[in-house]
Amino acid sequence: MIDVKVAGWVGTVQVPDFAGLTRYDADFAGELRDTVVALADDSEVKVIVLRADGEDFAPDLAEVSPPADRSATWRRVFAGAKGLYQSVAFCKKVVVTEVDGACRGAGSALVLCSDLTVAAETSSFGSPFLTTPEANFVLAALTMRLNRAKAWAITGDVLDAARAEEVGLVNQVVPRASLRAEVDALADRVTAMPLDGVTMSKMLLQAVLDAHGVGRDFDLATHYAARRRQAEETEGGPR
Amino acid sequence: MTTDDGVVELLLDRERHQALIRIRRERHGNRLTRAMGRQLVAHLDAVDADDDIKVVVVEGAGAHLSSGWDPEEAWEQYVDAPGGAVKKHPSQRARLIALDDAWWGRDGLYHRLLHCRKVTITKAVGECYETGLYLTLCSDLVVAHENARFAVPRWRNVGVDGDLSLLIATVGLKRTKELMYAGTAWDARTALRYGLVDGVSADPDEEVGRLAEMCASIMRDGIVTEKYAVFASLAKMGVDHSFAAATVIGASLSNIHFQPGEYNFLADQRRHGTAAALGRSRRHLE
Repeated sequence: MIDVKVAGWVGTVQVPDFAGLTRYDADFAGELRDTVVALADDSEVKVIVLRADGEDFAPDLAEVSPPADRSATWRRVFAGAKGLYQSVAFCKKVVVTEVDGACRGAGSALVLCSDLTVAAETSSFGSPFLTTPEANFVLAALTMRLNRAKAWAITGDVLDAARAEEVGLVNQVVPRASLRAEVDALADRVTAMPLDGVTMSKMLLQAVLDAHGVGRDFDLATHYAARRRQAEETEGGPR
Repeated sequence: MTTDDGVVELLLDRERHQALIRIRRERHGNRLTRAMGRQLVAHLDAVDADDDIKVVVVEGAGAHLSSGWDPEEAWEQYVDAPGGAVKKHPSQRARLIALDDAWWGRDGLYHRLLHCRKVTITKAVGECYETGLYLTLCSDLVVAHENARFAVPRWRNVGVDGDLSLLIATVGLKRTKELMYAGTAWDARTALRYGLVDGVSADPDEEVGRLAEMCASIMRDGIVTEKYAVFASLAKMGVDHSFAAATVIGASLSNIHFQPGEYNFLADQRRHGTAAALGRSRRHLE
């Protein structure tokens, strides 16, 4: 299900889509996390590309709830310090997400954790905050600015590709036909930096993200999950 | 080429409450030497101590604001720092002290400009690379010429050794990462869209003059009060933390090992000279 290739300093991770994360498929998330960690430790890799070869990066799913908020598996694989999202956000290598079609729920959480994002003109981005307690609001505020992140979180508006670029959620918007080539070209540009430089630059970034409270917000996922579950039980839905 | 052929001028117009700091090293794209950095800091000290001055404009003579700091001094800056010449290779403490003193520490150029008590306005023209970018980031107001370009080409050669907090606060996280990793140069319009500059003009002198006149009409107490409010916010944003982290990582990056096939700027500079190495390492920005 997860196809990995390493060539020219670039590790490419290809999956049909990332909806498995929204479904809380622990096997898929665990394998993806292990793949990212292995590539981060690989001294032949400077850049990790996360690519979906289906129609959508992470399609919309009917209401899905996170497992019980104190589930050890959920914390280990999704929400904890060694879970998927923090493994991407604090990765020692540069992570690029390649987005086409719908990017919803966990897909948008993954985009926020990645370093660079290239999107097809046909892509769109749903807010992860109503559905995905692991989504990091501090990252969203640093990426889009506080007012826009708040609006995205509260309204749940879907941003089209042009708007996503305008607010800083994605770096480039390109025609669908050239998406893969543009991502490959971007990854190739990143590989010009020395391997030591990539890792030390990520250490510098991690120190700054920590100072801004990114790690603390990840720690709050348990609280957000509990609130969501409570809302579902008492009000019939997350809102 | 010597590295002592540049100068930073200070012109005072007390009647109009304005100061002008001009970087003059036109033949070398206004690349800053250590001596020029110290002059610039001394001028900021003088401006801060002069109660008749309310506004200071920073600009480069000629075609560029500044295309970086001078790589001729990349090694000497460490050798000349305390503990730098004890052994064959400069000690780690010497590297830390050199970067702190020149750029990120309390007396360093960027810290000093960021904490100037007067209104600072930068005119961004042509290449605003490395030093030029951080002069832009550390100023209160920036007017860019249509031909201005912003980048840090050195990061592609060694890794990221500059402040990230200010950059993230100004342009956003993913755009910061684009500058960090992708070897990108932003043109003036992109810089305006991202919030790095406040205006773009075909005649930036006119717009800078208008802003300086306007700021010079503000009461002294009002300016300094607002500046201290900004300093408080900078502290809350963790800018000092980020500057210190930049010093630590910068010192470590001065010591990296290159993998086979990776471009080594200093080796290229030793073999082919500074101009050739700069040209090669910046070709991707053309």
